Amino acid sequence: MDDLTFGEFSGIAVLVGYAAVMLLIGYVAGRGQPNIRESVKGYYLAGGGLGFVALFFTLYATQYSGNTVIGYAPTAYRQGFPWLQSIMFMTFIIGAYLVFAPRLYAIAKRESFVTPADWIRHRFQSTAVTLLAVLLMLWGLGNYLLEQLVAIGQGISGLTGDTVPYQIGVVMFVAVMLAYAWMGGMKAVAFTDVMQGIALLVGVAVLLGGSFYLIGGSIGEATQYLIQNEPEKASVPPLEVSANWLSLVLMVGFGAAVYPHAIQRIYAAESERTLKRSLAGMAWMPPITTGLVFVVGIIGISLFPNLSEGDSEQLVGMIANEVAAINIFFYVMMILLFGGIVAAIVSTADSALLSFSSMISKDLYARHINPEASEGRQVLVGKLWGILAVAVLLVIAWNPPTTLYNIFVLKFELIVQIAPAFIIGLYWKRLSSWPVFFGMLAGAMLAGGMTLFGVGTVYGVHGGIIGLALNISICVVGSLLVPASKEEAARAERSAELSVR
Amino acid sequence: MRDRPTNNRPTKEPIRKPWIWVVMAFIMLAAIPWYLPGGTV
Repeated sequence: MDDLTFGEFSGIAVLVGYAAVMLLIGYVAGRGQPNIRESVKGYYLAGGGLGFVALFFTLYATQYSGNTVIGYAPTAYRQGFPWLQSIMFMTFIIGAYLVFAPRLYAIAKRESFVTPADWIRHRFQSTAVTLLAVLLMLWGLGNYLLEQLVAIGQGISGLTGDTVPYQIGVVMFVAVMLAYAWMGGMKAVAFTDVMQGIALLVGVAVLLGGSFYLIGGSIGEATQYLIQNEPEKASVPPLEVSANWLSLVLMVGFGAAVYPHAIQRIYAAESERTLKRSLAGMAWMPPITTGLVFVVGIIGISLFPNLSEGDSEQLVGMIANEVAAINIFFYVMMILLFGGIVAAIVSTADSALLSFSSMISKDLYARHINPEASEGRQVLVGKLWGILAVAVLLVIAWNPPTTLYNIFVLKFELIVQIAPAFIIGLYWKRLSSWPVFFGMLAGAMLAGGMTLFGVGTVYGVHGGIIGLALNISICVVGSLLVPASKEEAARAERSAELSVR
Repeated sequence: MRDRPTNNRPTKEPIRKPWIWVVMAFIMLAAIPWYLPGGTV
């Protein structure tokens, strides 16, 4: 987003405005919960009382970030129609949710779960499985947070025409995020997500409207241009690429559905009906978010042909410059859009940070370091460790990696390995703890090792999915060969016991 | 902070409805055109 002609001081003004509103929401959310400092469930799950609007938007902000706009449009530009898969994998996340969320919700309410690891502990009663799952989730969240921090800095420096440099931008907005999350916990995060989600949706719609105006209102012409000049971006791919798409849909679909912060939003729902209504609403968001961003990327091909990969990363900024020049309405809306993009990135980062803090405080500190700690102390320790983690990530973010998409894929490789413990564990009583442990470990090592040695895919299939296949095989074969003890089987029966219709 | 009582009504599970699997299969088929000849527009 370099060289935005409409940014600079008006950009700074809109960012200051967004920051002020976020702080105000945090303050109000904190005041509305007198015991927020003394209750882990109050701080991390808003007391399990999120209604439809807050739950819907916080789920939305968890799955969609500012990166969805500034990273996906350039990908559509480079790949062409194959990037329609971005709609598919975002939709598949909802399918994956529906597989396990309602059942997990009912058990979580009954057992008062706070963190994702609470389910693992409850189901498998194994310290080894729980700790391994916590480590994988912390790793994934750390990577996810890092990605968001880099994007915050790039967004702010781009929007303000580098008047606010990358590093200053990151530090300032991270401070705002920490402040409102500190004051209001999950409730503040969910309420800021409402504002940030609306800003992003409106901004994307106006960006698309402006893009249509620039090309004369016809997507057909943009498509014809593509077919005539770059037919490979509109043609059916070879089989290996199809395998790669299937792999990506599965990895993102299952990986994003078991994001730790996504699971905590399931716990935070006010009722089963609220959860289902929110998920039903979410099913419509891929076409009207990634779908619209995809069209912007396709229009970009005819507006700015033949950009290099590096230059194409600036596509949204280039289009926004042109759109802002149309008239004062579009000028103002583009400033609001870019402020909204930064806000949306912050809203994704705060969800991950809160989840990170909750696992440190409840799953590590209260469980293994100081079991006698009061809930107030647990909350305080989680907050402080969250700040420490962000400080470490800021050091890494100081010299950011280049292409956003690469880090986005990396975080799923390990986090998807916890999916069998959630999904199979909820339905298959015979699944026992040691096969889950060794499956998760083997899957994570294979996926991580492939990434480490630069083997991203094999015949188009991602390391994360190959690791997941190994993981599931070990879980299933191990549980069949080494049946659970009577005690473990009875416990599994009780832990997932539920009245279902 | 409100701590809501556990709901004792039976949980309705969407995965027990066949249409959800039909939609998932459709999404996969629409997303991945392995059944079409490679290179065609």
